[in-house]
Formats: sequence, C-alpha cells, structure tokens
Amino acid sequence: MIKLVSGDGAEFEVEEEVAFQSKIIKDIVADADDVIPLPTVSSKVLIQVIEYCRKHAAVNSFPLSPSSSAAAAASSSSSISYSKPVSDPALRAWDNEFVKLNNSSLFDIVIAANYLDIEELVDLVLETVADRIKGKQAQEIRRQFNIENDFTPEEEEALRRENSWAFQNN
Amino acid sequence: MSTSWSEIPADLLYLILSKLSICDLFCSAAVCSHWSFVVDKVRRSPGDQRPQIPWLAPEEHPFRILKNVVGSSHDWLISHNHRQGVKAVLSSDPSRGGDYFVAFVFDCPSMDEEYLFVLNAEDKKWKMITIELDEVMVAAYDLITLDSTLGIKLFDAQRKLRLVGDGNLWSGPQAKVGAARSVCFYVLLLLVIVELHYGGDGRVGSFCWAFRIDHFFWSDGLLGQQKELMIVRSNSIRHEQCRLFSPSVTLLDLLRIPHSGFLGMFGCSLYEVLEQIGKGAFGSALLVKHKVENKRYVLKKIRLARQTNRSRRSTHLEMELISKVRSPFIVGYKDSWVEKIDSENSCLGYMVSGSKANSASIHQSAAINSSRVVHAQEFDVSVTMLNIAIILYHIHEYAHSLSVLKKLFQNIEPIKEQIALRVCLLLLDVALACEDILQVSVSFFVINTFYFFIFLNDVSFIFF
Repeated sequence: MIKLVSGDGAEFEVEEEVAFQSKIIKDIVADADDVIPLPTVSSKVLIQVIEYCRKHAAVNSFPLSPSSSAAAAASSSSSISYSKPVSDPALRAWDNEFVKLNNSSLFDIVIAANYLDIEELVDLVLETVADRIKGKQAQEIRRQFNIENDFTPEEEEALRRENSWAFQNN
Repeated sequence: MSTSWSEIPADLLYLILSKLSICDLFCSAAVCSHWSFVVDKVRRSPGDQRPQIPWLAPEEHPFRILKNVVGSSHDWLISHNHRQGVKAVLSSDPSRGGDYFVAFVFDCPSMDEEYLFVLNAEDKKWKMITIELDEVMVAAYDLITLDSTLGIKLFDAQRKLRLVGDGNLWSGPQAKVGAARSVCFYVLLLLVIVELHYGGDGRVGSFCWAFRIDHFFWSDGLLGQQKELMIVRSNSIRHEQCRLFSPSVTLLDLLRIPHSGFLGMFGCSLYEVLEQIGKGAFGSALLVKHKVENKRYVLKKIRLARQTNRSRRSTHLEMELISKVRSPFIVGYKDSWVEKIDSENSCLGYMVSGSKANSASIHQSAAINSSRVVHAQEFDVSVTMLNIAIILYHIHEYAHSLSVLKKLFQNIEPIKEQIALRVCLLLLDVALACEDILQVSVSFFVINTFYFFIFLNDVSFIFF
C-alpha cells in the first residue's frame, strides 16, 4: 500500500498497481518511502484521479509483479496504447462518463494528471477539451472556458480579417 | 474561480490545439493572446502531421479556400477574393523574407480586357503594367522566376521567349501572346522549356513541380472544373499565411503548400476514357488515352468511399507496391492520384503502362483484376507468373512463355480453379504457337476435364 497525501492534508491509501498508473509515483516509490506528499493536488481532484487509476488498473490487470522488468513492460505497453483510444469498449464508455465534468474540474484534473504523469488520463481530458472546442466560435470558447479576452478590438479585427474564411461558417 | 483555461500550460494547450482541424484552429487563435501564441506555434511546428487537416479541403469548408486560388509558385498558393479569370505568380518564397512580388493578370469582364499588375511586398497599391495584352489568354502566361535577381520570363504558347524582365519589372518589351487552346498541352511544353533552360541544374525538379501545380489551379480558372481541385492529399502540409493588401477590393492571400502534399495533380483531366475493360467489386479498369502523349494506358479506378479503412490501407499498399516494381515483365506504373468528386464518390486511380506492347499491358491488368491479386497481403505468385507468361506470349516469346507456363502447370493443384483454367488455356495457345504437340494434347486434355467439372458445378461457367 502506498499513502498519498493531498495538498490539504488528507491521506489516501491506494494499492501499488493503482498508484503506479502514475509514472511519477512509481519513480518516487523506487527510491523513497511509501508516504508521498502531493502538495499541488487538492483532495477533491485526487479522489477523482485515484478513481480513474483504480478503474484502469483493474481493467489493465495483467499480472503486475513488483519486479522492475514487469513494471517496465507495463509502462511501455501503456505508452503504446496512449496514442490510440482505449481498446476496451466498456472502459471507453466509463472514460466517457468520467469526463462528463465541467470545464474547471477538467482543468484541475488535467493539471494533476500532467503533474503525476498519467499519460492516458491527460490524453483523455485533452481529447475531451478538443471536442468541446470543435465547431465553436472564439466568443463561445471564451465563455465556456472562462477565458478573458485580452485582445484590443483592433487586434481582434485583424485576426478576424486574416482568417476570414474560418470565421464565416455561420 | 481561481483556475482558468487561459492559464493552462502551453505544452498542454499545444496538445489540445494540435488535435483541432484548421478551421477550429483559427477560431481558437482569436480566443486570447496566450492561445493565439500557441496556435501560431502549432501552425509553425515542423513536420506537422495532424491527419485531420486537409488544408486544401477542410471537411467543413470544402470550397471556400479552393475556389479563389489563382496561382501558385514556390510552394505558395495565391488566392484572390474575386474570381474573374485571374492568374497570379509569385516571384519568390515570402517566408524567406526579402523582396518578393506578385504578378497578376486581372480580367475585367465589363471592359472585356485583361490587365497585368504587379505588387511588391511593401506596396500598398497595385502597379499596372502597360503592355499590350490583347488576345491574351490568361492561361497562356507563365512567369518563370530566375534565381535571386527577380527576373521574369514570359513564354507564349509557341514556346518562344516573349519577355525577359530584370529587376525593373516589365520595363518595356511587349508581350503578345496567342491563344493557347490546349491547356494541358501547353503545360507540358512549359515543362520542356524549363528543363531545357535548366538542364543539369539541380533546380529542374522543383521548377517542374511548380508548374505542375500551376497548371492544376489553372485548369480550375480556365475550364471551370472545380471538382478537379479536390485531387489533393495533404497529410504533411505546413501552412503559413502572408498577405498582400491593396486599397481596392483586390486582396491576395498566399498560402504555403509544400509540394509533397500534392498527389497527381493532373488527375483525370489528362486522360480520355476509351472503354471499360474490366470491372469488379473493387472498382473498374478503364482503357484510357493520354491526351498529350497520345499513348494508351490502363487506368484502374478504385472506389475508396465504400471501403473500410482496412481495405483502403491495402489499396494504398497496392499502389505503393505497384509503383515500386520495376521489371521488364511487369507493366510499368505511371501515375496515381486520389480524386474526390463528391463526398460519396472518391476514387483512387492508378495507371499502368505497357513497357513493350500496349495490348500486353491491358491484358495483364485485366488479368490482375479478374484474379484479384491486387492486395499486397494475398499476393499470389501463380498469378504473377501467369501474367509474365501472358506478356511473353504477347511479345511473341513463345518458348520463354512456355517454360514459365510449364513450371506453373507442374504445380497446378494448389492454384485456384479459375486461374488454373487460364493457365491451361494459355498453355494451349502457347503450345500451339510453339508447335509442341505433346504439350498441346496434354493441356487440351486438362482443359476438357476442367470444362467438364465446371459444367457439373455450374452451367453458367461454360461461357467463361
């Protein structure tokens, strides 16, 4: 068991193969003790990330022995599957449910996942975000993602003119 | 809310944005300055391999970019916001900086005349060139830029050098260009010229390409065959934009398109279909005539639209394979392209040309089709050997053909029935031609047996 400590001090005990979905944790465990502080990750986000890791660890539960060779094999196979979508349809459906969150939660998750180096989760969230951007005008994107428009009107007009064909679709 | 997507680390944003199509990418650029910066980075990234960005034919806006293209040179497309039979040429690559200009033929329908304009990079206004341009067909122009001196040459339809410009553009000499009706023909002539001029020079290839692209868009402007513009595959297209303004409505966009993105610019327009010589579930084989070379080729047209991804891959594989094969006994590969006529009917065609005899090539290609040896995975040696034998037969190398066939014949059992029958029939032909009586009788006997079995199986096969 590995103990993860979130930024607000909450402790979470997780099994090794769950925690090892994160490459960072795996590296830390290799040369340190079993209590890992994660100061930048809030407990709310950590719960979600652990939920994701638990699910994926269960599905990808090929015998994960603590020996380093097996772990290396596991990590290499996960990095291969990273580029293509998760193969298991049930897991895929679960993933789709998992990312049905508002944009700010997704942001927190992707930052945490990026920090913990969980490639599959990062990719999943980024894919979701890209899907949400698709087909939207800049105005909508700004509203949806809570982004401030820092262009001057002139700059915006210049951009609009430059790519007028892309803005004409409505 | 403390966190906002505008604070997302650039590397993550980069990953998101690189998943977007080109149109969405431009919309994202307008979101905020941070995003705009990353979009810029995405657009400039080397080896940009995003699969879903067919730059010339984005799914959502298939025609918007294309229909205004008026010319291309140095990897750049030149588009225009009016469409009045214009033709434009760019002097040098704007991304390299320095001086560049666009020469531009403008067709004024109301006055029924054409004008030639030049615009320099820093210019704010079009410069009109006062040369006599009556009877000019826009398509008859091509401006060839020489090295860095910005010289221009203008050739007419008779391949004669009509105008040589130097740094002082178009200063003086007159250009009077006769109408060139045959567009395709003219382009090939230009290719010849360029090669003559630059023979031995490393740049020949690139010049040729430039012209091919020129022609490609040219046919759009001239013949109004917009659908042909879609013959573009663009996986690795990098895009940069630069823009020339003039105070009037005239506005030119320059889009950078590396040549590698183009596949078979000439497409169907260069070939005239004579007849259909084969047909199968995959598509059809057509006997076509090259309009310029006046040679006959076999065009294999494969419908991609209705295929699964897997068979599409294998089709491309097949094409790749065919294009690499160099053998005196296998018909040569000429050209291939992907064509998108409308969304449901995209075709992939490739050409094979006979190395020795046209009829042989046709025959072989027909044999390939009927025996479906097309997929690289299921490549069957027996069919290849049969094809070789057929070709040998057609070029009257009977003895050689017979030796090939005999090898096939000795090992006929694993071969599929239909192919085996063909082997036997050909063997009969070849044996008769060689006056090899023993072989004739053997193959005759085998064929009879075949027909007998086929008759038992299916009466309709008797006409085979």
